[in-house]
Amino acid sequence: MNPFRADTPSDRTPEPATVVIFGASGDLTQRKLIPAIYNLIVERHLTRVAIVGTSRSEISDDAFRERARNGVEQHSRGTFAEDVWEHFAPGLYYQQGGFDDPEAYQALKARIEEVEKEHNLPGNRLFYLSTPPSVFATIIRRLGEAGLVDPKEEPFARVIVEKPFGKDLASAKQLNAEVHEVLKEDQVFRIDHYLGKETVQNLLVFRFANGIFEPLWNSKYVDHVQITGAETLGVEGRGGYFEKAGILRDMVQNHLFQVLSLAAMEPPVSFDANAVRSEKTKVLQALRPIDPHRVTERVVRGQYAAGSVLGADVPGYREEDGTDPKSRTETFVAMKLFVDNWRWAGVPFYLRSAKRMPKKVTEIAIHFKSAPLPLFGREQMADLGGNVLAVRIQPDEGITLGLGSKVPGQSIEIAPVTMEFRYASSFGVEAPEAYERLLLDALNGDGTLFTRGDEVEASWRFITPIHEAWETQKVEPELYEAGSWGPDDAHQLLAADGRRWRRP
Amino acid sequence: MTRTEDIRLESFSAGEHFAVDPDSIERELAALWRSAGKSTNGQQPVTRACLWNVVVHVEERDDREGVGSAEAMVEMVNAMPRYLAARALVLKTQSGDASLDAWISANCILSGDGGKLVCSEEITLLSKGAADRRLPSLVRALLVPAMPTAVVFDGVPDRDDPMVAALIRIADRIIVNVERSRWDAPLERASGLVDAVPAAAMDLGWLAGRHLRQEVAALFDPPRTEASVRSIDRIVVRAPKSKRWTARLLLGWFASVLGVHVSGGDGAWTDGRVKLIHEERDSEDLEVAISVPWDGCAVTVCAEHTGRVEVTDDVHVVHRPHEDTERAAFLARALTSRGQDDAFRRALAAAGRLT
Repeated sequence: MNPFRADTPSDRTPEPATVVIFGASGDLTQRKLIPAIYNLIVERHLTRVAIVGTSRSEISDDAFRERARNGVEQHSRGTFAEDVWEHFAPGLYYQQGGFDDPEAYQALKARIEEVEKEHNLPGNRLFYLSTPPSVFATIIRRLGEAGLVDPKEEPFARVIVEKPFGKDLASAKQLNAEVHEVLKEDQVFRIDHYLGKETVQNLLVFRFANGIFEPLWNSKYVDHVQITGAETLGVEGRGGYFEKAGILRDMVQNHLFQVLSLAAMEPPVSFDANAVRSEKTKVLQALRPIDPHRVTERVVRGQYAAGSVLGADVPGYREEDGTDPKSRTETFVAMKLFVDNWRWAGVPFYLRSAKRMPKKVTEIAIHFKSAPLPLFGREQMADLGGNVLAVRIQPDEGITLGLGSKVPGQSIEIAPVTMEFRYASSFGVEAPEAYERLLLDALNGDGTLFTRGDEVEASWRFITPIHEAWETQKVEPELYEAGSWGPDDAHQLLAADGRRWRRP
Repeated sequence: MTRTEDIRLESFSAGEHFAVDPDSIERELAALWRSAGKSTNGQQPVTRACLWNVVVHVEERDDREGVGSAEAMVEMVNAMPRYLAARALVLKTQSGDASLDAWISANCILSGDGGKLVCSEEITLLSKGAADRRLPSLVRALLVPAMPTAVVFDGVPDRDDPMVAALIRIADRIIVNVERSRWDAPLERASGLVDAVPAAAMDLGWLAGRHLRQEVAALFDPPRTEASVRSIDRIVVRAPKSKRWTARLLLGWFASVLGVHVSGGDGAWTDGRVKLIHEERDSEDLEVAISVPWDGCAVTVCAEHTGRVEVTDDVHVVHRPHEDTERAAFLARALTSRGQDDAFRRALAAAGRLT
C-alpha cells in the first residue's frame, strides 16, 4: 500500500495491474470495457495499467488498438483526448488463442509477463471473462493449470465473470463448484452491471445514511413495492441467444433480483463486502417459493407482437431473426413475490421486466399505506395514488417522493405533487459508467457490488421452479403489442389486489 | 456551460421550437435541463415544473372531427403555464405520406417572487398519413412518470379511431369541446363517451359557462327559498348558433338540477310543469331567462359577456366581472378541480335527451 495515497482524493486508486480480457474481439470490450478503463485513466483513478486482449480471432496489436480507439471515440462518456490516448494506447496488447488450448495459456502467460516487464508492473492481474458462459469453467480451469491465478494476496489474481452465471439452479451449482476448484471466493467477481449504477449504490446511502426513511421501510408503513425494468429494444439480432434465455433468466434472475435485494435487505453490520452480500442473500433466501401448480396466478408470461416503439414500427418477437415462429420464449414477465421475514411480512413485491416497452426505465417504487382516515374525501385521496417514493435507476437517475398538496383556492382540492432529486441537475456531472465503478472495485479487491456464489444459487432456487412449471404445463405467453405496457394479465395481477402499476 | 449550450438554452426557454428525432426527445430535453442546472453566467435561473401531462390533439385532416381548431389549440397550449405547470404534448395529424416529426420547446413564466423562470415543456409531434397509429406509443414514452394525464380534443372524439382509442386508454381525464363538434348529436356522443370510459371527462364550453351558472345559483340564495326553485315554470336559454350545444348543455343542467324529465322537440321541452326553451339569437352572448312565479312572476336574466356576467331582475342590473376568459384557464380549472364532475355528467346525460 502506497502511504502517500492515504487521505488523498484518489485513495481508491488500485495498485498497478494488468487487465486480461477474454473475448476481446467482442462488442462488450469495445463498447464498455476499454472506454471504462480509458475514463478511469482520464479521471486519474488508474495510473499504471496494461491491457492484454485475447480471443480466437487473429488480430494484431495495432488492429486491437485501432478497435479500442474507435470504441473510446464512439462510446466513452467524455470527449476523446489525444494526449491521454497516446499515453494509454501503448499499454494495449493482443494475444490470439483458443479458450481450451493449454498451449495458448502458456503463450498468454509469457505475453503477460513480457508486458509486465515492459511496463514495470508488479504482477497484479485481473482476468475479465467476456465470453459465452459455456466456456467460463474451461477458461478458469486452464488459467489454474497455467499458474495464472494463484490464490495469494500479493500480487493478486482475480477473475471477473460476466452474466449469466448458470441457466438454472443445477448449472449454477456446478459452475460454482468448478470455479471453487481453482479460485477462492474472494478471487471471484460475478458481475452484474446494474450494481455499478450510481442510483443502485445510492439506494444503500439513501436507506442507511438518512434517519427518516428506515423507520418507515417495513410492513407497518409500506403497502407494496413495484420494481420495473423496461427496455424499448427487442432482441437486436440476438434472437438465437434470447430463444434459450428469455427475460426471466436475462433480466429478472440477476438485475431485478439484485435491485430487489438491495431494496429489501436489513442494515448490514458494516459496509464490508461480505456483510452487505450476506444481507442481500438473506432476502433472496426469504422469497416465498411459488407453488408450481399456481405459477400462472403469480407469474405472467408475455411476448411482444408487432407494434410501434418511440414512433417506429417494429416486428413481433416471432418475426425477429433467429427466433422460432412458434416460440414460447417470454419477452415480458410480471410476478408477485413475498419476502417472508419480519420486516416484509405480507407486503407484496410486484416485479416486471420486458422488452419493447414504451420507454427504457428501471425503477423501484415504494408505495406507502394511505392515511388511516380519508379526511378530505375518499375520491380525492384515491386520485393521489398514495405516497410513492420512486428510485429511478436509469435513465435520468434520481429519487422522487409523491405527495398530496392542497390546490390554492377557497376549497379543499388535493393534487399530486412531487419532490424531486435528480443526479444530473443536482450535481451537474454525469454519473460514471457502471463498468468504471465495477472494474475499479475489482482492481481494489472490493466485492461489495458483485454477486456471491450463494447469492446466485438463492436466486436460481426461486427462478428454476417457474421455468420448470412453464415447461411442464406448456404455458403459452400472452401476446402484447410492442410499445404498450404489457399484456392484460399483468394489469390484472395488480387489479386483483386493488392496485395498479405505476406509470414510470 | 459552453457558449453554444448557452444560446440553445436561452432560445429554448424563450419558446423557440427545436426539431429533434422522435426517439431522442427525452434525451434532448434532459440535456437542455442539465445545461440549465449548470447555468451560472448571470442568466435568470430556469427550472421546469409539471403537475400534469396534457396531450392536445390538433386535427388538421379535412372532414375529421376537430379540424380547423389548430390556432385556438396552440394558443391554449402557449397560455397554459400561466395557469398550470404541465408537460404539453401537441399531436398534430395531417394528411400525406406517412411521416413523424418532433419539436421541443419551453413555455416559461417568471415565478411569483420574480426570481426565476418556471418552464413547462412542450413537445410537438406531427404525424402525416398512416403514421398517426404510431403516436400513442410515442406519447406513452413521453408522459412524465406518475403525473396524471389529460387528453384534450376539440370536438367529441371518435372512439372507433384506433389512435383516439389508444389515447383515451392512457387518459386520467378527457376534455372535449362539444361546441366544436361536427357530429349531428355531439351531446349524445359525449354522454356515451363519458359513460364508456373510466377516465373522468369535462367539456370546455361547460367550464366557460361556470360564471353564468354561479350567478344563476346565487339568484336562489336566501331570502329566496326552495319554494322559489320549485315554482320555476319556464327557462329560456338564448344563444348564437356558435353556442347552441353549450346552450343545450345549460338546459340539461337545469333539467338535472330541477329533477325534471322533459320531452318535446324543436327547441322546446316540458314535463308539464317546467318548460325549457332554446332560442337562437344574433348576439354572441349567452342569456338565460328564468320565470319564477313564486316571486310574482319575476323574470330574471343572466347574460354572459366577455369578462363579466350581467344579472337583471325586476329592479336591478348588476355586473359581475370575472377574469377567466381564456381556454387555458378553463382547462387548468378542469384539471385542478373535480368538484364539477358529477354536475357535468348529469347535465350532459340530460342534455343528450333534449333532441
